Amino acid sequence: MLTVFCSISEKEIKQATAWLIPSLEKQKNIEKINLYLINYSGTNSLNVAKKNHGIVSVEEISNKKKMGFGEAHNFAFKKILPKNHFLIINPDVYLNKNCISKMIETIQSDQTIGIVEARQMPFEHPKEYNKKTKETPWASGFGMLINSAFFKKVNGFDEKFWMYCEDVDLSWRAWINDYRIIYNPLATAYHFTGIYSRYRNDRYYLEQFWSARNFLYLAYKFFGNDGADRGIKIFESTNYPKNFKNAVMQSFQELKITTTDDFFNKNKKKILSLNTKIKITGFNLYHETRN
Amino acid sequence: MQTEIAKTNFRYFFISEKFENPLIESVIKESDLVNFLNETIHTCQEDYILLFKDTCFFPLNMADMIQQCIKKANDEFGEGSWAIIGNYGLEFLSEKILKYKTDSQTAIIPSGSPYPRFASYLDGDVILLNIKNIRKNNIAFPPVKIDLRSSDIFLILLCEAYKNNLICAIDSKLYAKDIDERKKIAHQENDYLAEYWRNNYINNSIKTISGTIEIENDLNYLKQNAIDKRADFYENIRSAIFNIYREREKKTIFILIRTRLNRPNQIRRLLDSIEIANAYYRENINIAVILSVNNYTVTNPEMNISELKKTYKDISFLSFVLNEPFEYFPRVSAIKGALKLITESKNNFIWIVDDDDFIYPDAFAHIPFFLNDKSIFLGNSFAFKEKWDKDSDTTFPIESKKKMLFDTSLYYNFANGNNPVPMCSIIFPAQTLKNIFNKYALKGDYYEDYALFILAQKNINVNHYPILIAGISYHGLSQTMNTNVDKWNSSYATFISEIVNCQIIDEWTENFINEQKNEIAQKNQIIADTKRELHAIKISLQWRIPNFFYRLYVNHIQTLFVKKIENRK
Repeated sequence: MLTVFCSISEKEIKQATAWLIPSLEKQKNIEKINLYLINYSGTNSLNVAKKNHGIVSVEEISNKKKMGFGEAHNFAFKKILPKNHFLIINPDVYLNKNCISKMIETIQSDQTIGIVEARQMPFEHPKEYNKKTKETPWASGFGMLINSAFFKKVNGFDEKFWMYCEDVDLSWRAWINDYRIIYNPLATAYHFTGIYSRYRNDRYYLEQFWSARNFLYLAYKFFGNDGADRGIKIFESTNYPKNFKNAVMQSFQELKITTTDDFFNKNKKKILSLNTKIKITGFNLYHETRN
Repeated sequence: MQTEIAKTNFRYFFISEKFENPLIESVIKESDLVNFLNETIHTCQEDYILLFKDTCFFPLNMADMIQQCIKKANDEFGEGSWAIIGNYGLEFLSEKILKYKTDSQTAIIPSGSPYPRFASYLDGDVILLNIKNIRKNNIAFPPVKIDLRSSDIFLILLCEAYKNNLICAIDSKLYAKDIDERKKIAHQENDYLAEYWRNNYINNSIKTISGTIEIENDLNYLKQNAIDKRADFYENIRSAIFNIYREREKKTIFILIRTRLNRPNQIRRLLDSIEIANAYYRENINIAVILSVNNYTVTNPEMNISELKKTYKDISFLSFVLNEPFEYFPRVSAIKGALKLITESKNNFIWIVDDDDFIYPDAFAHIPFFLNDKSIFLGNSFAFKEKWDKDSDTTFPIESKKKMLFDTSLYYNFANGNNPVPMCSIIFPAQTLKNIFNKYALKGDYYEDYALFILAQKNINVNHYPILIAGISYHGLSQTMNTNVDKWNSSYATFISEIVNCQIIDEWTENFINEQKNEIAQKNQIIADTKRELHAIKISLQWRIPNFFYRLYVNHIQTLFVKKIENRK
């Protein structure tokens, strides 16, 4: 039996119904899937009746309040307490039929694996991975199989991220805690991310704002005040207009006031020793890029 | 800030539903336009108003043209669904400037629009207002104290129309000759427009015919737990368009897959992508698949059609298999045979893909609204360099690298002998392809994509939209671009012969193209000369020539450059 979490609002229910659930139904070598749709909007019910779709049983869970990505998954984890491992998946994803079994094969091969990441199609994420060990610096939250023991040990996601980049943070904390992040290119899933088809340049999207804010937060959390200063310099050199930069900076400063740099000081030695994994290579870039 | 600009006067026609004696009532100043509109919307007894700049000249049969314009809009959108038609503006999604007028800046005669095109911006040269729809939906101009330019007024009216799900469009029936000699002033932000925009929309820019207006908008909508009731302007337009088509008969798109049934994994990937699209977008459009098996000589195909139909049970399948073992030109015959399976042509469209292509499901968020029997839909596609594992049953490549985007906006380059458009980027109206096969022999192979697309343009326009609709397994550039003579064959000559003899390029077009070529050659020469001279400047900088001499040198180069351009005029 596999536990799957998908954080979702009313707007995305159609995606989950049309894409995610049918693709879960077709998974090979999986006996049973419990899919929990986490209603992160905190308002109206998703009107998803508890129902079975072949091997998939679907249930809506809610904390009756608006939650960010990390908070939603932490809530689900504490409520369901999945054994061994659990899958986090976006609603706009269609998994190939062997995707989950390939991910499970990988995570079961070694207890030191914290997260297994699937491969996105048709535009594969160009981040580096070791062709032999399949180790990669971080795993994308679009589709990750997480080791429950690891998730419990690190207290889950850092909820301060609200949305975007919490997957980088979780991955880096895995490395710090001696867990590994593995990319499995044979576990594939179509991900219809907006970057290639829906994003326009006449407005800003949540992804742009929160990725920028959390880029600064990651720089501060893992590299202290010097890291934050370097992050700000990199961000200032981007082409974003002044009002966007001001809004991001304001949000970051508000967050920084409530955060100490204890995490950096406590883990400084380990972070520095993991410089091939925990690194910032450019604005919003946390890896080398494959050709 | 509001800039000092020359003011425009407007004339107007009141037009009743009966189209009897439309008369020019009066002349109004641009500064009185808002009050005039608000008053007219509430009080006038007529159904439409035609507003136009007093420098515009219309054809003598203008009353007929207006009547035809109204009919076109009613046929296309439905009588109660539109608010404004203009002759000059920006098309939604393609962002193409459509200009149905001749003025001091434009002499080129435009190609007419077979149907009104959705507008995301309208200029105020000639504007037809559907007063009865505007009144019915309680659209009024927000109270204004300052003097606004007509372009701002019509932009705000367009916004209000779309908010109420009324369509605004551009149509060639409103063609006019404008004798205004004043240069078009770039649309600039003014305080009123900016405030209106900030109160209503989250967008930070507005695309207009004369460039983009940047609006420093507040970004509250991006913040945690934000409650922001403002809309996304372009999403608002999409939703209004979606709204009118929801009520109408659904279009059907036939995805015609040419296959030899010898690439089972690839074809399954394609069918996966169709199934994914169908699952989400079936409310907007009917998607059907025609499997057109184009090689009868494959005696032991690696898969069979009934097995595919069973696996993809949510997809509606038709199939055609070439039944002549020695049929010539199987690629052409496969399309021809498949077309016979489509009995009804109206509202039916054909998307020809190879079995190792795939479609982008999200393209269907737009495709249904922009397909039209009177034009060819052209999108973009992306090529991937792929490696497949033949021994496994995986429906994805083991390696896939982004190779290139086929931006097909320059599709008309076919006239230069190039083939810049992959077949999977084109969606044809079914009737267009049927007409081609009825009219032309099309004897040949491997260049039929190129021939079909060009021949289709004999009678029908191409509308390009910059959205990604298909993915391609890259096998190299199109052979029409190949300079290696060994790779050419008589198919190419055969198809081009058909194209030449149907006079797809008529004589005046050919002359026009040749003239442009000369101009381009001259411009390229100027660019090459300038580059050389700039290189000299760079070298001089490296030599650290004293400032005074350096300036003297730059002045000298500039003088030479200006002279060169003047001599070439």
